[in-house]
Amino acid sequence: MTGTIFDIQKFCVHDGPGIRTTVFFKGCPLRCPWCHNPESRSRKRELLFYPEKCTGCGSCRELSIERGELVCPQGARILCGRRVTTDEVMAEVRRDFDFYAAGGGGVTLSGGEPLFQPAFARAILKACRKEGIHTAVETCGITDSEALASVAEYTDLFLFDVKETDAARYKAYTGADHATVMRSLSFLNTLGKAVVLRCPIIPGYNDREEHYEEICRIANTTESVLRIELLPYHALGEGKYTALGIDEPKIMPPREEEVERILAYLSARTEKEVRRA
Amino acid sequence: MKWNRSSEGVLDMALCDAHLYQYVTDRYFDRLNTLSPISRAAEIFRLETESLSVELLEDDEFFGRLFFVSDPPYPVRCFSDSVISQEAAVLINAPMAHGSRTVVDKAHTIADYRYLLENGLSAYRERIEHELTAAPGNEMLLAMRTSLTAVEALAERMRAAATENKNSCPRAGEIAEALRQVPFSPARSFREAVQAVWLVHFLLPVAEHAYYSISFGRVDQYLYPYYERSLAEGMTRDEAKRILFQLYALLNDYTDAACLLNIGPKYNALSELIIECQRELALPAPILGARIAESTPDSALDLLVDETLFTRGQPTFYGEESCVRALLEKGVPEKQALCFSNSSCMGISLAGEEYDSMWGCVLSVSAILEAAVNRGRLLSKEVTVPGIGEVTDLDSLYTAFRGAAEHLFAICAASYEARADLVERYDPDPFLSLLTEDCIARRCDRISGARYHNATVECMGMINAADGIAAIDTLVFKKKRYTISEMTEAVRGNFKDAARLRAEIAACPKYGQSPEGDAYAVKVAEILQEVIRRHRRGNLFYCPSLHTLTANVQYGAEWGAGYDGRPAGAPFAKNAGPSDEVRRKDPTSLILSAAGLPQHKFFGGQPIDLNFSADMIRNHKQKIVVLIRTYLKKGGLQLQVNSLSAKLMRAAVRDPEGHRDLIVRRGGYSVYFNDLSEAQKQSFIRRTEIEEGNV
Repeated sequence: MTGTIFDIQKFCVHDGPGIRTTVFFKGCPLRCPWCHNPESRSRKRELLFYPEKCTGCGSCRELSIERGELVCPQGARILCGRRVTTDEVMAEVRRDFDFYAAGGGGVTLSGGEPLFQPAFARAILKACRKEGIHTAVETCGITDSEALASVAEYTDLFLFDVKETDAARYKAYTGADHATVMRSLSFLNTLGKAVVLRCPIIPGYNDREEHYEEICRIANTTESVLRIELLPYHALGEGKYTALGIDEPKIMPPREEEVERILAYLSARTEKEVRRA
Repeated sequence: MKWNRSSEGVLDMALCDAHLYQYVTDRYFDRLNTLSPISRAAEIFRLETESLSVELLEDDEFFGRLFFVSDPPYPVRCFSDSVISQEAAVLINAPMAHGSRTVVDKAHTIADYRYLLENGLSAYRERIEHELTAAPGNEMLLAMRTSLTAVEALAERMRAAATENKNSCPRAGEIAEALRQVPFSPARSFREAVQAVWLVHFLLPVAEHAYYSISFGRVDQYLYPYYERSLAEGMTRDEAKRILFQLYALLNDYTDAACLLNIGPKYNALSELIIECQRELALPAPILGARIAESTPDSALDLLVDETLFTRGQPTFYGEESCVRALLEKGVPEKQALCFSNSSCMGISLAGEEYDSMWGCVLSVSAILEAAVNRGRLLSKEVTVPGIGEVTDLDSLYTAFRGAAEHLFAICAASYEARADLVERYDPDPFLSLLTEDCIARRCDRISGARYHNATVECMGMINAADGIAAIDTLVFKKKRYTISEMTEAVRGNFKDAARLRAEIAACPKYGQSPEGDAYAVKVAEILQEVIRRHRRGNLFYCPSLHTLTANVQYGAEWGAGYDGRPAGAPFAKNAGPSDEVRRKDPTSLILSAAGLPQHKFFGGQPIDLNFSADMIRNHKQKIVVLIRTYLKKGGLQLQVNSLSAKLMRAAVRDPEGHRDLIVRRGGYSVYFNDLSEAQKQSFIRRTEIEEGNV
């Protein structure tokens, strides 16, 4: 089984319990304006160019033509996205098995949207399960129940995005249907799958009390939900927009005091644990 | 007189330093010049102890303030018998021709403090006297006796000063009473034990004339019985803490911060108190060497994985089982190996049994690779290694590498042994010798009398050389894209017209990046440790090591480009970490790569460096614990930590005054960032940027 990814990152500590390796899938059905992995949106391979790193050596021209792949000694030109097999992913992932075993860690599929390539996601998760590796999937929930069920069979934990709870705003921001998100969450609940609600805080978009209250209502009425995790917006990914030749989002990260206030607001309205990711 | 700073920005001893030696040798030169080296050494030590001033301060818990009021400059005097023959000079300087260096690196010692506290210095005196009955007039034994008499006189002056200060120092009476007992009789209390340890610790650098890296050994183990006893007799925990606070203050006044306090792997109440002192005082010295066994409970690690400690580069974590295995590999009997102490920046030592020349040799592995690839010729030095043929495949390259290593290290070994011989003849140390087994029984100096004379061999540039071999194997032998000559010319020219080749080298397997890259490093490590260890003779052990401190910057600055793509003048890889040519590094990959090296065969020391953000330490402590335990369980000897950001260090470069308290881990010990050279600061920043993924 093959699929398209754009990265495999080791020692991830914000993508589930313990020390994890995160496999980043390429391709996403959404177009969130705050996305910090813009290179994950398209399923196709894309060129990122960082002009400040380019020394004009010309190696990219010669070597790339010869070898059919992009080579840049300075890392100024990066071809994002590669086709890999399940075996290739597992060869990389299983290297850190001792770290998973010692600290309750494992593998997380993220992206992009793993459920955009459900068969590939399932194959990796199945292989991890066979080797005794804990699995987690980070998803926006925009998928069908068949794909979700096929992946859920081998998933120990879902990191479920709650980006916006107002349907009209959700459509305007992401281009997708919020009802699909709620159906997916409900489906996971009926399967009894452990879920962590992952809630980005995006000033100017979803920083409203109605939204926070709705998050709490969802957490309180969905038995599967273990906790709420907040992800304050950060600007670390903005350089990638420029490298892709698209406009950067003009979003200011929330102030620390505001994040603390939101944490307290949510904590007062739910019995479930509320913390930062 | 507080800090003396050399041009390198290294902090010298302050309370007592080379000025004392220079003063004594200048003032008493004529008399000293008539003596033989051994007698002279004892007499110098006696005169130095006599020249020390002693002062009890109002807040003292024990007598710590010994110092020399100097009025430099004092001329450096050479005794007329200290002549080096032309032949010896050629031999000892020979390694420099190919970029290696040797030195008899003094200090780096640990006295057997447990024995000292249980028996007192009188026990050593009795043994000396016993040997003198069989060998009356033996010069070394007489010199040892003289040294002990000098210590006794100093202790008496301290006791008298304490008695005179009863009105100004509340604890003067207790201190005077303690000095009646220690250091010549066994200690009876915690205060007496610390007093005895401090006095001997202070005198060791005076005797060696080398003012750094003298460690305390297993403090929480040998001091614990006295701690417990004193608590039972009415001492409070706060009193014990005040005693330790004074010890820390003294260490930071006078040492270069490479003094190590060893704690664990069984953590007791005193271990916890020491950790508490380390956190509260947040000073560069001493290094806290925390031993972690598989049985060490998580509660100990919970204390040690701490933001305050990590921001000061503390502690150094040592793997208990790994260190024992390394000593067994070295040939130390198991019973002794189980009692090891960690020493200074990376030592795995036996207290009171070793002479540790911790930087005894820096071996240029780049020179070895250049000779192997180019039929024995180095690229920028007029050196040719004989008998190196053409390399046509990986096997022949490794064969040539081994041949070049054997030849070049043999030059280093001959140089070191010539130096050691000179030191023993012209710079003996009766005081350190009497404290080191088996010098009294053998009636000789610590150089040939110590049970273990360790010459650590730093394999400088080993990782870069391994990556270079990987590049040659990939591009020349496997893909046949280039010839050896083409690669060599590109390296010689610093890749000036070879950007394409450099780009291809960047894509070759590298240590720290993949198992394929790691395999080359493992093979190179195996060859080097075999070649180095084969030169063991008598009590002299050559100990392979991958501990660079920040010398990787200095040595890299002096060397041309490398086959791994390293540009001319760039730093070599630091410790057992990947080179700077490896663009992205994550801690699990680093740990797996380093654990794959034959660490137990590099018993000279082999650390890796991990840097953690404040967020990581505050919110993901358990994951850091997992990293540490996993690495040590996999055979890792030593793990050094920091909590820095590139942004913070750049701010410190712009505004040194505003960052005077910023402490970083420099190789094996912590130092103020402002005291690093500019090149070292930039190297720190660059490596942190790579770790942060911003390069």
